[in-house]
Amino acid sequence: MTRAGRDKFAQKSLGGLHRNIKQAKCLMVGAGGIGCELLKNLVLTGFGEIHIVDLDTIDLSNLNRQFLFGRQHIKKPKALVAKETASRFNPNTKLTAHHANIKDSNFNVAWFKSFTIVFNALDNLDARRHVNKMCLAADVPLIESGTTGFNGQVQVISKAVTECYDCTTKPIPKSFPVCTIRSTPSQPIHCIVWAKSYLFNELFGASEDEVPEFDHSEDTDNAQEIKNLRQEAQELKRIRETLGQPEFAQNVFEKVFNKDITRLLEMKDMWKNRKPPAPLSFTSLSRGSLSSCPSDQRIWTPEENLWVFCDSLDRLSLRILGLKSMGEDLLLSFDKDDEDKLDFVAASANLRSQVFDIGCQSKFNIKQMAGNIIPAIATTNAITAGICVMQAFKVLKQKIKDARMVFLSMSGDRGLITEPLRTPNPSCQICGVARLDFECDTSKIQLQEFIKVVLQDVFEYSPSISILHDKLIYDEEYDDNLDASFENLGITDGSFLTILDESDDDQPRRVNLIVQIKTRSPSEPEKSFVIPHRIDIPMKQAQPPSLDSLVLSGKDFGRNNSPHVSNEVEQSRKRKAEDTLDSNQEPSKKVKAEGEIIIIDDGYIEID
Amino acid sequence: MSVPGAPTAKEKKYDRQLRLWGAGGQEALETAHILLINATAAGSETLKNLVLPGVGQFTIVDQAVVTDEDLGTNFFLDDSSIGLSRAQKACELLCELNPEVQGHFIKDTIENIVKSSPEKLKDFTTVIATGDVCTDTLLSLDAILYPLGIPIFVVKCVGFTMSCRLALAEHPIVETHPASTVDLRLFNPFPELSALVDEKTAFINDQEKMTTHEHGHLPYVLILLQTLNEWKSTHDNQPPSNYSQKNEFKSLLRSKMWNADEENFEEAIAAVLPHFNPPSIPSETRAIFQDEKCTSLTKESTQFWVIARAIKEFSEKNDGLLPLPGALPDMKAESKDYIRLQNIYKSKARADLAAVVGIVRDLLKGLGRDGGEIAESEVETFCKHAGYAKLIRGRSLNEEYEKSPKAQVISNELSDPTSLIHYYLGLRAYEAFISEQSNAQRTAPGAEDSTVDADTEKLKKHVTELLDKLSITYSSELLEGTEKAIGEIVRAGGGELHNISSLTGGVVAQEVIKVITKQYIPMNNTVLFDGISSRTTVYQL
Repeated sequence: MTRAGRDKFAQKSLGGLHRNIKQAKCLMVGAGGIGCELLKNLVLTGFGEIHIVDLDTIDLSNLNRQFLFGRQHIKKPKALVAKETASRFNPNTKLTAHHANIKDSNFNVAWFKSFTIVFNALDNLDARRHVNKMCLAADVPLIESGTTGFNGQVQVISKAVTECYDCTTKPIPKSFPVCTIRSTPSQPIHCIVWAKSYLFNELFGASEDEVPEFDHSEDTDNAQEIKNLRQEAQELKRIRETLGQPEFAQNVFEKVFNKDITRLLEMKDMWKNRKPPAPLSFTSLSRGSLSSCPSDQRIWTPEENLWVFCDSLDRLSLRILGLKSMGEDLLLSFDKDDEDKLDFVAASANLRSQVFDIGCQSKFNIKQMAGNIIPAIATTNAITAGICVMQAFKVLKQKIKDARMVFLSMSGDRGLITEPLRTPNPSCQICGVARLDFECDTSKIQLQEFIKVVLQDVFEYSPSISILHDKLIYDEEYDDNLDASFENLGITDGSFLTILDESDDDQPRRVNLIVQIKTRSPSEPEKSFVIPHRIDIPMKQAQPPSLDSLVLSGKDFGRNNSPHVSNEVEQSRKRKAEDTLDSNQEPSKKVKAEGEIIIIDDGYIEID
Repeated sequence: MSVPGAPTAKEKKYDRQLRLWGAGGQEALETAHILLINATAAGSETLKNLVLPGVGQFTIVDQAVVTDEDLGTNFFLDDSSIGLSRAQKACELLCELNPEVQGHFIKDTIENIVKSSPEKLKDFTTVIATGDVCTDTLLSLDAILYPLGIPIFVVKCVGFTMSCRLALAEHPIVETHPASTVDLRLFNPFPELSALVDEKTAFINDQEKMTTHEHGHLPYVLILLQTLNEWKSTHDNQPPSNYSQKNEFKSLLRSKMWNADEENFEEAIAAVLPHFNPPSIPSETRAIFQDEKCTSLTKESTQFWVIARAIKEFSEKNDGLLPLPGALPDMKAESKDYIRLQNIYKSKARADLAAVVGIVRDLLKGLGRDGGEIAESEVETFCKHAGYAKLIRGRSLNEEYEKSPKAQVISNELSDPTSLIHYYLGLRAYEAFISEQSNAQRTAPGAEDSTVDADTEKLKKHVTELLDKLSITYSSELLEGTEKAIGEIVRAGGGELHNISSLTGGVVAQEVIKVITKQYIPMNNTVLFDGISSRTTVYQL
């Protein structure tokens, strides 16, 4: 059957652009809310080839907006189902699905280079930053988008022409000092994080040390308390062994809501300026007799909290024992959509709130806070995806200057806020850099050889440099890796090294140098690398403009922050100073003063 | 494993939207019945965005059969649909998206329904007209629906352009979802608050009697109130009123700091400009109070007007103050002090609420109605939003077209060649072009390459006729923008571009949801979108 009719209107409206569209090969990262809309738009607009990458599987709560999926697809990979559904709607588009993480090494710079244009339809900061970085390295235009509830935004990113995703600071992800969570909570969110990331993990999952919500940067200030907390955790592990026995719930309860609290009370200094907690007693609390879990919309009574606490512990214990009897010894991890787990976290958080006289929360709200839930609806995604494609038209017409930054707003006076694209921020750590391709045999070249022969001899770097590969691998005081080969440091084909100029403040410093590693076939076995040609590495501006001045107030709303939870987050951030164990001491700075975005302090880990 | 009392599958499916409009909004959506006129791409996309979040029912009226062109723009039609009823096929495919939604279709034209069985229209919650509907039919629809309070959305989507006109008679909104409902009552503190100020700030200037820690943890609200008392004692009992006085006040605050890094004082300084405003009832709320429906309640008055009247009476008895919403922003403070302060605001909010509830009960009895017919929770929601509520009194299509067109709005924009008003004129001309033709053989301007020039001239003629009718003077220079808009419209040949239709479906469905849930403020009354510049403008026409 001829498809002339199908393209009739697209050809009329798009004119010559229609051919570019048919020849374009696009990459769409993320097949969720925006992704489903975007894929439909791209397919029906007639884009020639589309690759879809998504790591996720389909969940029931996706179905209120992710229309390429139905109930029969729950738990199936989003990328594959999206491809299957969308392929029916235009036989002329070639679709390829990758059920994979975009950060996988096979999605390297060369692969990114094979695309005409990239669309980000992601839900997290980390992957966004990664794709931004890859598109800059591959010099492929990127259409970046995001939504939160009724708000949304679309940004066009093109290397050296527009600002990149990291040219403006993004909201700092939340984390809490260990002592706030474990000893001195003052907000419901502290109790929720305690229940989800400490208690749940100690009883059913991996140990607390791996949890990203914990900020260990203040640990050294509170060494004694940290030691006590370790001991408490050890005791809890012993109670874990009584799982399945009738007194398990009581043991856990007495331990965390009585014994540990009583110990905390002995730290008299801690309660000089705070209301001391009140231990709960399992036997004196009435457990009530409920036939089922109370409503998740209202705040539970103390009796209901205790009932749900015991009941959910029983349910989880049964599951663990069931797994054990089948020879599996699996650890559970928190999942907001798993009712047993959510019930346990909700009841535990509320019991702890009772102990510390903090307001309790409904299970509905706890789910949002514990699960970092961002409200999401079909309409916002439809508008956002539509704008993404409009901006892609400008890019494909080579008219990137006509592309716009677009914000969706809820206001009744205007629908979209449209702004010209901004130019790159010269002090951006991601795009305000010099780039170098470096060919080497990674099994042979040693770090010191690279520093001496390449950085110092060719580029005349002073000894004051740092080298990062995901994390710090070298600086003047950290020379442990000098003898290691690239391979042993995990540096392989496609890896990036970042060279930071750490000259004294009064000296001019160079912008960061990004070195992309390319493995070399051993044609000349005696040489382990090719000496690169010297490229010009510009100096950083003497007075870098303040990042704040680049963020338009009120418009750079959090792409990852729900308006509903942000209030809570804000509250906890503000009160942090008070909640450190030593109230008179300001918490140490988490992010290095200069705003280097690569976090070296291992106590602080970002979460989305 | 199923857990008793856990959220139902339906609640789980709708979880992400319940966090926006709550159970009340969802219920309104689930009991709504939408009429879609014509299963165009934009119309189908609009329905998609209403079916997914769980609208109760929809009905599609469309006499067309599916063509090859439809497949290129309408996602809800496939190869097997060609030659079949567009209403039926779109209905079937849309229903697949959500088994909870009931879809219906009528293989007929809206012209016939308006003429032969207009009473059918009264059952719908909202009507969305898309595609080519001629002016007479639109005005007849308006004449039936507008007096009944049934909102009509008229959607036009041609090439890169779309417009969405909402005709809605009266639309009160309590839950407008403002960014914040904080009212600190700094200029008129209630006694409990003043007492706390006296207790906590007695030694604010005394390093002997207050520790550095205590001083650095005084909640900023208390600092502001204490400093205001001090200021008023030297300023005829008046608070700072102008910008320079406010700056002076900030210096006074700064002078009270014991060291440079007292965050609570910084918060106090930052709060001066946003919070130092004399108490007044916002104009939107005042408009509600002054509305005739508020001043003269009847036996039939809706809940909104009864509560509005009660709040009006409350404010008259309370020096023009609205009930306190009770929210308190976070601030640097000891937990115990913060909680105490929070409780003081909450208690006051509860007392105000109780007073308003009392007035509501009395009003209802006075009207011979059941004093308990309005739930306290409804009064509470209104009290929290009293300063943010909004009443939209819309305009009918007949007013826009015939009775009292807003010629001034149009003529003001005419000289700006980038104004989207040119697309309004172009789309009105498009509608006139369509309306001239008989139903059976309607073709859009530019549909045939051979008639592009003639069609363009016809549209220009329709624009000048419209401007003449509105008594707007124009020159060829002024119409430059309109000519460009007409060029774009004719180039599209009446066709939709899927991407624009999809975006239109998002915009229209979002406005429909706002109207159905009576939450958030809808765009009143005409939104124009130009895909080429990615811009929207909202006009009141």
